[in-house]
Amino acid sequence: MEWMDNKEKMGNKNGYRKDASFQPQPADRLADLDWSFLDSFNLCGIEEQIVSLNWTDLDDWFKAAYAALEEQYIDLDKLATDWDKRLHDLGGDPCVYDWKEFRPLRLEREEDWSDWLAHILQTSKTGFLAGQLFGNAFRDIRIDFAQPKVKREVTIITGERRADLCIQWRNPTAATHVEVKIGDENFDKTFDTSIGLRRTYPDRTNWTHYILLPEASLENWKECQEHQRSQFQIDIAEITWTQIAIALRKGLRKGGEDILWRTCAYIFCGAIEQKILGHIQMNEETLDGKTLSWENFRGVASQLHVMKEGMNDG
Amino acid sequence: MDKKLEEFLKNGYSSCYLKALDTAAYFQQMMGEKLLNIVRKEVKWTTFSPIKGDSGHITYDKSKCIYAWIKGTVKGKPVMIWTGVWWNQPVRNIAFAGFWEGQKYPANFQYCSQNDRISFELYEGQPFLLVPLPDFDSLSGEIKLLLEELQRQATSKRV
Repeated sequence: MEWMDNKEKMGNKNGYRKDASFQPQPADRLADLDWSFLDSFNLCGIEEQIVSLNWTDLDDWFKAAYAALEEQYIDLDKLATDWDKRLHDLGGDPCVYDWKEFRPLRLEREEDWSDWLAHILQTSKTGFLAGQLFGNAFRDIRIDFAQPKVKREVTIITGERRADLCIQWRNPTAATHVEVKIGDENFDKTFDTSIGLRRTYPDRTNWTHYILLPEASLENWKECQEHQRSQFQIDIAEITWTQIAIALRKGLRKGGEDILWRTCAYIFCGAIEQKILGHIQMNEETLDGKTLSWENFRGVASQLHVMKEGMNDG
Repeated sequence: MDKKLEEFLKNGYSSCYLKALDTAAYFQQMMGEKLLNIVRKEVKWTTFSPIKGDSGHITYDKSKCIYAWIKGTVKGKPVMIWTGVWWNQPVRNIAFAGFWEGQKYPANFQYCSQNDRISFELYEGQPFLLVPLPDFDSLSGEIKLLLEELQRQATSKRV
């Protein structure tokens, strides 16, 4: 939100943007300046901005953070135990395995992640996962999200771009386009691709467009969206990998899918959580005698969020 | 090089820098969680209907803001509400809230002031309600105040 730094464009009603009132004076107005402002001038506020070259101020914050993390880890352990029970038929919570070392199927490039997602959407008998992810966007028509046709790397009509996933729902007019990102932030072409895809399938008149990305890319995506909005009249919503992990967990809990789908979804979920979201592996062997390290901080916080939300039906 | 600066770099190099980054990352995530919790569990929904089962999401950015998004509808129209905190030190921290309609801000949203403490700001057509946060303990109350006011505006045919 660059706008937050651009304070001079914003109001001053409650006085909390007074720091924005200073503006350099044009040279021809310098003669009008006087020193009377010093009568009321004080250092209050400015002193606070002087940077202290000292890390010790942070010590208390570090200690509090570590204490909070330890407490949360206890919650996480309880949640993982609960998940173990719910996913007992698949071997417990996906976090018990080391998915970073999972090599039978490739998960290195963006294309690999797209292939997995396409497969899981296409083979879902209930359509629950797709409903969770895309269900709210179709306002005027009812969509059957089960077993859609999912096309990968669709070359758009101009031949210049390819769309990652083009999901053709059973409803003959409805389609969803998803661009998949795991770190690459070249977002500009997404708009071109979306418009091109619509022209490639003119019989599909109800489109929704998504970009799937890590949380860390959201800000740059929003900036790109702002810039592109004037040029392209098209809505592209964002989905994060966290939301995919949560939806997969909900899907795994819910009945109706066969064991093959559940196994694939389980592997995909474990890989997303550890490889993209930085969650930790949790089993007796890996945790025995080990203490939490600082680099676990973001992973544990995110893991707790995903496990909690995965249980949430409300 | 200045001795104090040398000492500062030395401490940061050995461990403090990484600890600070990791702790800040943890703070961002948990602060976002707190915002999501306030939005989902404490706000009284009147005109905005949150979508059942939406997990919401959290964003933090370079401009010292952490905010939470949730999806819902106003008068049947899909709308997202986003709310968060802007660390505007040393002046004052600020809580803000706004609508996001489709993939754009509602262009016709005009705030009609009913509460003197709340400011309405437009930046490049993006409308926000803002309120200063005196301290951490006021966060929940002020976010609720903003979101309830935001919903009140949505009934006034301006959204």
